[in-house]
Order: sequence, then structure tokens, then C-alpha cells
Amino acid sequence: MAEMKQPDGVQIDLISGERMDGMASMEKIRMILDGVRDGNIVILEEGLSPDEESKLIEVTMTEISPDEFDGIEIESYPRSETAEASFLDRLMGKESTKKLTVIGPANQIETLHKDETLIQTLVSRK
Amino acid sequence: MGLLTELKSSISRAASTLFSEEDPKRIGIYGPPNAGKCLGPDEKVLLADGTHRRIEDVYEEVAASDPPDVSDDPHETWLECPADIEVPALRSDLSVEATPVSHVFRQRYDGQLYRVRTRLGREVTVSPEHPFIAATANGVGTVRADDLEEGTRVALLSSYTPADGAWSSELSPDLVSDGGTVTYDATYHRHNVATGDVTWDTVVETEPVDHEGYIYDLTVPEHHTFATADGLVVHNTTLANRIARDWTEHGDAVGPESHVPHETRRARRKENVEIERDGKSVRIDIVDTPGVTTKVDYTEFLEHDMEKDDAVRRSREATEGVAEAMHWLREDVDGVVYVLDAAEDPFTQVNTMLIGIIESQDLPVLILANKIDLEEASIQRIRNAFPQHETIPLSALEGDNMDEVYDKIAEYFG
Repeated sequence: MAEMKQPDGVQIDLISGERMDGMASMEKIRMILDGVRDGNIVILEEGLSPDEESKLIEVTMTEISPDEFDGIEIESYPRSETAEASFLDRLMGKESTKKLTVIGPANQIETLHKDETLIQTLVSRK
Repeated sequence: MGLLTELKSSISRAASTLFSEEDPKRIGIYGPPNAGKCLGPDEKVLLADGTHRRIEDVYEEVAASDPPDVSDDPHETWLECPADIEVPALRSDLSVEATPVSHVFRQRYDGQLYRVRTRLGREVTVSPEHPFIAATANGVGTVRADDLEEGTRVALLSSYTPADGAWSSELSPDLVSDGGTVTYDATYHRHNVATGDVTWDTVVETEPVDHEGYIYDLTVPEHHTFATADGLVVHNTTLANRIARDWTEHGDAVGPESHVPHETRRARRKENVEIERDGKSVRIDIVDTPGVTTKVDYTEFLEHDMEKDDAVRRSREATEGVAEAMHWLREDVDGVVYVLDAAEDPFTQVNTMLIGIIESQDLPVLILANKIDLEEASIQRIRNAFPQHETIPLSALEGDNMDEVYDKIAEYFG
């Protein structure tokens, strides 16, 4: 990511699905955590796969460090597709996990409201 | 839709036959973090020899011997107890038996406790969720402190015979020694008829009191009850362990063992748990995981009497536990029991992600909607949140609907 952080602002990285497509799981996780650990808000156009989400939680846990990093806040829209549809998708071999996902440092981002169509978060400067 | 439902169920049947033989299936118990049920530090606990101790002192004595800590939440300490601490525990037939305490439990808690007073002058201060043994229209069961009403009939020990008949000057002042049997103040019997070793006292007042500091509890295997110094019987419980407890011969909790050498002690598993259902025996390994979260802030544990080192250590254990739980979910479990609090909103990011992860691993998953004893519990809300999975309501605390839980576990994972 280019270094564009304002002295007292919050940097937001909006990462396209296309950019993510060319990355391996651990690369994505590294990119997200590097951004978040720098105090940035990372917004993924298409989110992560369930497998990547579980690795993200696991790696986040191993990086939590007192006075340095408290972990992440992550929000995405709850799945709107029905169980049958996602099962069918899985039968067809395509996992419809594309969902806008917001990730930020746990101590700087707070979810105010979330429903199937709206995520409201409050971001504070560190 | 009907076809897909059909297809789904035949696939899940196929999945269950796939792993029906030989090695026990490894079933992970997952869910978000949970709250505890405890007593205030000054509450006195009746011991098996007829003496009484402050629960905080019991805890500190155990802690001084540096026993293994098996807690799964950084706010909690859950220590293995040496075998020599015994308490009179109330059995389901309302008789009393001296029973060893398996664990002592301490939790940091800033919030409201309830001071409960009874007609016979008993008083105890407990967390809102802490259950009492009560006689209700539906028989004898548990009632949480915050659900107690004026007039609720709660159990008091009426008599108790210490195992070795040894007395000490610390004998609870409310106990009257008569030969080998200790009897509580005889005024009980003017008000109530004793049943077994129990008499029924009546709640006259519950009063919220602010508390800042630690709260405590004991784990008493098998009978899950102990009594305060003046005989008021309270329940004990440790949520995630109920399943293992009910299925194992001695009712012991999931132990502190870790399956991987050098791994964190936060990983707890119980191997070869045998469930018998309809004449068929099913063997499973239970992996009890800590509540999954995406953040851990050690300063939350940095309270006035917890040193920074301790807080850091506990937060580190929590992160290791969650990391390990996530790893297992991808690599090392054959099925998942997902425990949700029916009184809480199920639409949380952690729940949505975890269910998604479990589904993507094609693991059979059974959702347990726990705490249905609470007024605000809604099973439908959980069914709406995860309509693709079967949701079984239960109260692990009260033991409600456990039969169906075991039937389903045998069906899903057997």
C-alpha cells in the first residue's frame, strides 16, 4: 500500500475483489493485518472465504501483544442467501462468500449498527 | 426446495455412516464466550467436617498449592482442587453426601450481585445467574437468583452427618451437634416439614448490591450443589462441561489435558466419552474450546488486584486457546456442537463467521440454544438466524432437554 497517511487522520484502504483474486490466502491475511496494525481501516470489496476467515482469526490471535495490538474488529453483512441456495452453490462448486467486509484495529473501530443491508461503524483516531 | 432438503438429509445421513465405525469421532464444542455464576467473596461454605470457610479463603488455599488452571476465559481462574476438600452436597433424592470439590473458580466481576434473604434469617450474596435449589409447582429444580421472588421456597440442609464424626470449634454457629449428626436450628421444623435432609425456607427479599472485585464458585462433581455455612443450598455449574459430565462414569469435568504436547493447557479434551442411545453405544472425543473472539485486551483484566503480569499471562492464554480452537476447526474435528446463549442476539459477526467456517468444512453441526430457562431466551431467533441447521433448545444449567441433546448428538455424530 502507498504511504499516504495523514498525520492525524485515519487511512482507509479499499481493496477490490480483483486485487484479492491474485493473492494466496496467507498473502491476503498478511496484507489485512499489516494494514490494521498500522492503524488503517481495511475494506474488502468481496470479503474472505470462510477458510481465510478462520486463518485470519488464528493469525490475529498469535499476533495480539500487550500494549501493542489488541486484535481486530471485523464486520460483514450477514448472509442473505438462503440455506438452500448456498448449499446449491456449494454443490456447483462455487462458494458465494462475496460480501463487503470492514476490518479495523479493535481499539479504534466500534460497530454501531449492523443489519443485512447496513453496517455503521465509528472509527476513532488512536 | 423439497428436493434439496431431501438431498441434504441424505447427505448428512451418508456423512454419519461415513464415520460410524472404529475411532471415536472428535466433536468440538464451540461458541461465543459465556458468563459465570458465582458467590461473593465473603460467603461462607459449609465443609464436610461441619466447619465453614469463606469461599475466598477456600480458593486462596487451593491457589497457594499452584494447581493447574483449566479455565477457558481470561477473566476466570478455574483451579483443580486437591482431593481433600469435601463439602456436603445435596443429591437429587434430597439426601446429603460428603463430596470432594473438583475445582475452585474465581472471576473478576464489576456489576450487580443479589443479596438473598430468607424467612429463617439466611442470607447469601450471589451473581444474578447463580441458581438455588427451589421447590416449585413443577417439583424441585433450580431457580436463578434474579428469578427468585418473595415466597420462592429454597432448600436448606436440615441435618448432616459428617463422614468421620470429627468436630472442631469452627463448627458453623447454626449447626447443633447431636451425637454424630449435626442438626440445624430446630426452628426450621416449626415452619416446614423436612424432606430427606432438606427443609424448605422462603425467600423474603432479594436486593441488588453493587460489587467490584472477585466472585467465586466451587465445582462439585456429580451432585453439583454445595451449601453456605448456615445451610442454604446453592447449585454449582460449569456450562460446557455438562455434556462430558453426564456421559462419563464419574461425572468428571473435561480435564486440563492437552492433546498436543507443549500446547497450551487451555485446550481441554475428554476422550472416549461413551453415550448409550437406544441400545447403541457411541464413542466420541469431546474438545471443549474457549469462546471465540477476534480481540483480547489485557487491560480489561488489569483490575486493582490483578497484577499486570497476571493479566498479560491470562490474555496470552486466551489468544492461544482461540488460535488453537480455530486450527482444530480446520484440521482436527469431525463434527461441531455449537453452543449459543438463547438470551443473546445470535446475529453477531463471530457467530456468522464461525457457522460459515464450519459449513465450509462440511462438518456436521448441531446448534444448541442454551439458557432456555431465561425469560428473554428465544429459540426462534436462533432458528431464524441459522435456518439451515437443526437447533436444539436446552438448559445446561437445569438439565432441561438434555435427553434430546444426547439423542441428537448420537444421531449426528454416532
